[in-house]
Amino acid sequence: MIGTVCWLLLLAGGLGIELVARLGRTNAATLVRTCDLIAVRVFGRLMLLLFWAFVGVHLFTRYTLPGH
Amino acid sequence: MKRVVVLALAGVLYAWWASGVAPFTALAYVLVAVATAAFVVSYAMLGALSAQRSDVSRYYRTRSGDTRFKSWAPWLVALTCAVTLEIVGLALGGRSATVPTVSTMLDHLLIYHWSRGVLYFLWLGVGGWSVVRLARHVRSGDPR
Repeated sequence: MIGTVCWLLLLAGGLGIELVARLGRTNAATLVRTCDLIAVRVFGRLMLLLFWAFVGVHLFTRYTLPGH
Repeated sequence: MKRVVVLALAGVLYAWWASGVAPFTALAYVLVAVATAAFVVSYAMLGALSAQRSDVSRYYRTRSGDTRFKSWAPWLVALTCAVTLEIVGLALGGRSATVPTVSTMLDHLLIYHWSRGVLYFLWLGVGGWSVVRLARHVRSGDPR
């Protein structure tokens, strides 16, 4: 339960950072701008691509909940 | 614009079909592999995976603006918290009810076909949007 609450708080925190960044109230970068910064180098682009592919394989080819 | 709408519609259909395929089957792996290959090939054809294409690096540098450590530090903090929670969840066996991993959390969303389809479409959308965005830049030569 505590872990679930922590994940939800983290999600809310991420949405909060994105909102504040988009409103321009601080100099916090949006998630897209942060990813653009990572993508400046080829290695960064490759890492983002691998992460994206990993998410696809991990979420849509397997399942961990028993009984479903 | 019309092409983007057609691509989005194709994405919806693909996501709906693929999300209905049972996990751990060959078809499930093939469908993810086909989508991944399509994006990797498109991305590579745009020069994104070539170290020789300085215009692509310049494009991303321009897009990131004057992003400095102070700007992306909040994301680094969030990522560190997520990795810590994931490690704790894995240390507790991966399916702990007290501290679940992010996979276990998301698996609850993957029970239903519609929610699985939405997540599948979002996944395709993130990959497709990156390619479309870069393709627009390459075609127009606009640094933004």
